[in-house]
Amino acid sequence: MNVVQRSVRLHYLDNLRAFAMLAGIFFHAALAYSPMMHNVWPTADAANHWGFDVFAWSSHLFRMPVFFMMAGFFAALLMQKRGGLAFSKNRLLRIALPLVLFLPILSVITMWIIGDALAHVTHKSPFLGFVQMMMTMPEPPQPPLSTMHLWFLYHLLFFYVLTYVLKTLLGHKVLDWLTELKPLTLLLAMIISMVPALYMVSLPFPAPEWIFPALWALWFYGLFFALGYGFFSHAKLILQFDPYRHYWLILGVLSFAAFYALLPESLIPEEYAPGTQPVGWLKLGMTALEATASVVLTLCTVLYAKRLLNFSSMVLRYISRVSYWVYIVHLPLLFWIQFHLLDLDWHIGFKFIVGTAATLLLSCLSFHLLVSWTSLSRLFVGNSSVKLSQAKPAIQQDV
Amino acid sequence: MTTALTNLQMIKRLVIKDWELAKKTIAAYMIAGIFTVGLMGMATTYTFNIGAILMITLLIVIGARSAIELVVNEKKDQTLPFILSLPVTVQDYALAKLLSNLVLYFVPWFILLVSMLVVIVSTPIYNGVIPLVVLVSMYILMAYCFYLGTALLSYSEGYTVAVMIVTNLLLNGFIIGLMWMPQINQTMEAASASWNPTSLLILAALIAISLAALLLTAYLQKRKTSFL
Repeated sequence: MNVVQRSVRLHYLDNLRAFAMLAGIFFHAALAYSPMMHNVWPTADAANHWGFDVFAWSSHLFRMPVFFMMAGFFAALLMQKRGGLAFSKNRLLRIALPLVLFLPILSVITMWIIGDALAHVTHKSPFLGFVQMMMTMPEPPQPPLSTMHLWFLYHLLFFYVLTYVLKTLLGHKVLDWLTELKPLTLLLAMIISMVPALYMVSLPFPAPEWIFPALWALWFYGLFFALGYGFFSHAKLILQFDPYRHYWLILGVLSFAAFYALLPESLIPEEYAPGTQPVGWLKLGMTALEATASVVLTLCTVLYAKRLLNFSSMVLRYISRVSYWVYIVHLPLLFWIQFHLLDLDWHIGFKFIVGTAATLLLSCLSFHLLVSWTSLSRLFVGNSSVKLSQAKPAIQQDV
Repeated sequence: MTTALTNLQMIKRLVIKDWELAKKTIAAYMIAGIFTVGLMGMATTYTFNIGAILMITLLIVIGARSAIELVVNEKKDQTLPFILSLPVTVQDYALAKLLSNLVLYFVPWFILLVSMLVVIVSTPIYNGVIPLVVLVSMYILMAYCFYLGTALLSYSEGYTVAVMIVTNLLLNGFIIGLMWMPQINQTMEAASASWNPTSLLILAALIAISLAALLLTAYLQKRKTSFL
């Protein structure tokens, strides 16, 4: 007699993915109107407002960690459902191939967009001015090799390798050990272990978009990936924080507030403007606040999503479905739109709305034109809903 | 035909057996490799130099462990007589050993070398050091071929370790010798890699010696009548 497998759809993870992707577009769009990023961001507008900084940097601390946590969860799910070999094939098809295919394409398109902006934009951002100045040099330096915003995929590949490695070397020992820790001990262990990694880089932690795996990012995001991986089989790892979620949220918000208050006025990387970044004890303290806010807000995002987003919504399901493609194409599109907005004498709030809405619209349109009916859908859509079938009953009940 | 296919199956199984035995060690090397590449990728002189030293150490350690763990220990642990009691000829066994060792060493060696070259090309580090890096890596591969050959032919820990010591001692001499050569050291701070006839000749010699060592090993293995 066949045993009927019950599939449990985890709506809140579908919805969380959709919201996290939307937050990514809002984050990148907000940087154009951020006073702190004015000298650095390619599409920085002449006008800016601190409100964009508050939004951008608060979401920055937990948005990508949430993505990595979900990636860890899905990795464990996929591995349990299909086994190691099928898992590897799936990840090569859905992570490595899009990275290899789209990194060169996006690099060329972004270069073209910047070139177009240099030629046609009158009110250039400081970044564009800098590029223009560099291009007048007899031998302009080559731009550094970058994985752009696809650094997420790039680092994921390393996490898959490391997952295999740690599984081979240690089995489930580490997960079992982590599960036995008390919530506060686990939280403190995570925060303290993150501080050295985050201390290595500027504040707030940058995108590790260089062509090499960034050790700090492998450790920092790796902990979230591991937490998500463990969450699949040991739901307690995260759910144990649920009873005190309001307190964690308050702690996260306070940590971020203190962190934000101490941030320098301009976030120029240390190598371009020595002396602008905090150093010594101040940096250590700020890094501790950054790590605390990051860990606590990431946990809260998952906990609150489980409570508030665990419903089926056609709109969110749609956004979740297109999210991978939108993630891939949104940044060049956003740059292109925001470069054109630079010369318009509109209110920055309106520019922000137009920029994000047009980016989302064009991304979705391109999904239907280029992906949904072609073989690209195998890479970018797959089985996008989060189902737990053939999983352990305990997992189905808890997660 | 059937015999060849059967043998192929056995060889495949023996290679998989070696993979299963070595996979934990390889997993540990992967972590070390990622760490080393990440360290070199930080692109400061300090981290690059530490990374380069770690990389050379890693290349030597991977080779040494693979030769000892997969070849010498097989006889020491009495696994060899057991395997030869299976329906497998001594030649199949020898070929499987050669294949598995080469794959298990050559793949990490190649990945580490390419990573090192990518680091150099994409960072402000002078591309002129590329010939030196390639030649040193090639020397390490050649040394591996020597002690793999020794291990496969002798199954003796003593001889294998002796060859390891000699080749690794000679590595220092090899590096110093290269640094003294004007054709190598004068182009080390150049913006691009300069492959001149001297460096190309050394590279060709290293490749030829490595291949000769492997072919000689295969030939002598074939002539061997007893492995016990």
